[in-house]
Amino acid sequence: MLDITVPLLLRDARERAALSQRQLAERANTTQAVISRIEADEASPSLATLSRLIQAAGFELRVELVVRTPLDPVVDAYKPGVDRTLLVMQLRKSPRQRFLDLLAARKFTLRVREAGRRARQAKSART
Amino acid sequence: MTLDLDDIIKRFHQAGVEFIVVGGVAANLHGSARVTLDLDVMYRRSDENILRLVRALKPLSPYLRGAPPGLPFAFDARTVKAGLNFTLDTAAGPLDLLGEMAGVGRYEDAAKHSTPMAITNHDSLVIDLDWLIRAKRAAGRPKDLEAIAELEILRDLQGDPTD
Repeated sequence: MLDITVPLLLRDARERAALSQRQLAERANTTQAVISRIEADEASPSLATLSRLIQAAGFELRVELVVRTPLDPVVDAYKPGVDRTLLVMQLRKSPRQRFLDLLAARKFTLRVREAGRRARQAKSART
Repeated sequence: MTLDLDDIIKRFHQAGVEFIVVGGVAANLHGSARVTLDLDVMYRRSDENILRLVRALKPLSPYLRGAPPGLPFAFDARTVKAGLNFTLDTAAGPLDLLGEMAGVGRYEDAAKHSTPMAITNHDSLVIDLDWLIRAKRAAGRPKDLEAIAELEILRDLQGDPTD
C-alpha cells in the first residue's frame, strides 16, 4: 500500500519550495487550475507531467522498482533469535574475507562431523 | 592438497564459465553468519558454456550426490543439455548446478540482478540480496525460513553496519 499520494506529493513539493499554486503553475508553464485539480485529487497526471511539476518546484521525482517483500509472520517470528552482533561482525569484513572464513568454518564443521562419526563407530564396536 | 569450494570457482574462471553464485555461499558473501557446506551456482545454458562447464568440472570427478556407487552417470555436455539442475558431489565439495531457479528464472534473468564480488583472484557474479531472498521464499522450504529472517535483517543492516 502506498503511504503517499500524488496530491500529497505535489503539495509537499510546492509548500517546501514556498510557492503558491499560481507561482508553481507559471514555473511549469501550466495553469493554476491544473495544479489545483491535481492537489484536490480531481485529476491524475501522467508520470511525465508529475515529474515536470516536481522539477518546477526544485525537486527531482525518483521512481524505482524494488522487489516486494511480503509480510511473513513465520519469518518475522525467527528474527528475534537472529544474533545481530554476528551479522555486524560479518558486515565489517570484505566479501573475500567472509568467503575465506566460510571455508575455514566449513572445514571445521566437516572435521567435527567426522570425529562424531568415528566416536559413534568406536562406541558401537565396544558394545 | 585438499580441494575446497574455491577450487571449483577458480576452475570456472580458468575455463571461462558463465556462472552466478547463489544459495548459502551468496548469503555468506552478503554477510550471513550461517555455515553452508555446498556451493550453488546458476550457469548459462548455451552450448559453449555447457562445454566450458563440463571441461572445468571433469577433473573434479562430479557424481550425483547421494546416488549409489556404480550408477551409470557420465558428466558430459550431452548429460547437462538433457538435464537442468544437478546436485553433485565433486572432489572439491558438494556442488549444485542450477539451470533454473524458482523465483528468479534462468542465468540471463539472474545476471540482471547480480553484482561482481572478489571472492577469489577474479570477480564472480553473486546474486543480489533482494533476489536471494526472493529465491529462498519461492523455494518454500521450511529450513529456509530462519535463513530468510537473517537475510532480511542483513538487508536492514546494510549500509549501516554499526547499528
